[in-house]
Amino acid sequence: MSESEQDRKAVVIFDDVSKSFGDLVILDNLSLKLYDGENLVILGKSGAGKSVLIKCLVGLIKPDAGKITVLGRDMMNLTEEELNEVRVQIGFSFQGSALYDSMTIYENLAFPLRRTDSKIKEDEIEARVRERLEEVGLLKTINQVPAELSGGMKKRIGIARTLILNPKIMLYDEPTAGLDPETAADINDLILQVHKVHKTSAIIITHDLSCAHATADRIVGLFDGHNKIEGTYDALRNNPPEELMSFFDYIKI
Amino acid sequence: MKVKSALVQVADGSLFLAKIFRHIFKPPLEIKEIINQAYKMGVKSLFLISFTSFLAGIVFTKQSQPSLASFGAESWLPSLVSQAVVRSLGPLITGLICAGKLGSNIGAELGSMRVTEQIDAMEVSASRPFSYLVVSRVLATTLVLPILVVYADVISLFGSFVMVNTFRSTSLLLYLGEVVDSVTFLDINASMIKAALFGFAIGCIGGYHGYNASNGTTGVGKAANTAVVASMLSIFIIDLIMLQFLNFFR
Repeated sequence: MSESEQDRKAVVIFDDVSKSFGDLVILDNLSLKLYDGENLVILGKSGAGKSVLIKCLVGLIKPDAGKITVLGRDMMNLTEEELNEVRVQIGFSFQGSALYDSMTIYENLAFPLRRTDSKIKEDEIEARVRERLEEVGLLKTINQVPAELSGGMKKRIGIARTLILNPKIMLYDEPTAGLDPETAADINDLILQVHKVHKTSAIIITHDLSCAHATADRIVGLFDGHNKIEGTYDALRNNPPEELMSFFDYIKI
Repeated sequence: MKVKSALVQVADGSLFLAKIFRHIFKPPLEIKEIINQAYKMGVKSLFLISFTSFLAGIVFTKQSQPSLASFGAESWLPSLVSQAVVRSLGPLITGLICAGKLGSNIGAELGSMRVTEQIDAMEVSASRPFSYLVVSRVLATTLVLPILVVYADVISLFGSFVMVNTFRSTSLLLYLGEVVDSVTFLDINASMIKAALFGFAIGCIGGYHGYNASNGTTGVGKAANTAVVASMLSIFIIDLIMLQFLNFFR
């Protein structure tokens, strides 16, 4: 670890985290850090355990061993209330957007606000919902339901919903999966915009090198349950490790 | 292996039930959502319950009439039907219909929310999905079932009155007088408690299977199906237990 990295404050720390499902080892003594203000891309093939990793981070999955620290709190030893205090500071953008399909877009964004702050007034909710929708360029969809939106629009709304609670850490699970290159590029731009405007630190889970290229300050390659590879995009591109050869070969084509 | 898996499921279900009780007694309750769910459940079930209760009243009266007539006790028909409807037929029919309609609805709705990560999204945004989605539905079914049972009883008795009128001409007031005379407060109270227990069971079972659904769309179908079957079974079991229990008071 370089001296500058040691000086930076880590907002997320994975310390020897392991997770298995039956005999299948997904995370094997994995250790990594997310530093304040950085965009960390976690790259790996499908089934490598990337999504499991961020689900462990927010307490959706309980690791078998190890320690996860988020914003200075040990996630393994929190009560439900304490866990929720940490969770409001984390924005999680799901691969399938996970919009509430029985609610309108307005209700989708208003819901977390109402549930986390019982005293918030309706006009404040409306103002914040409008602001976030404007930010992702989809204010016109405010009265629509998720079924009426395209995949790219759903992803943007999903990001807007995570931003409604002003999180300090953003987690993006395969943000460009299933999108055409143009829409994927728009999502990459949005990730960078969120980073710039909201000063968030982010973990971006992807197997899409163009997404990694566009958004990463640092890349960690997750293979066989370990973070085997680490570096900037350019460093890895110029001297690709064996595990990443196929990724870069694909880009050349 | 099957025994182990069954035991694990029993333990899991017990923990789920304990979690429901913990949330019921831990404020704040989701009053708005409970009322919203209860209203939707009540309205959705109304037509089916009206239809089946009316037919059940007619059929039961039609089938009982010859037996009573052979003893020359045809005049006991309103009394017999009202006791059967209030004590057993009304709650049972309502319970079974709601197990089918509401149980599958809760199982499928929560199941689809689970497999599309909507519940996870609520959880990671600290929106307390268990209280909002499960506890509110359990309380809604518990509240709405007794109301639907009263409604079903009234419709059944009306169906019975229509049938009685085909055998012998009688006024509605006279019929109602005979009904009121033969039904006790214990019958009504027991029926309400039974209905509330049916509702609680339907909500818990639907909630359990939906909330813990997995394996994509197949899992949603399985959750809805299991919720219906288990709810129906639980209704017969609760009915039997209540029958035994009430015998101490009769």
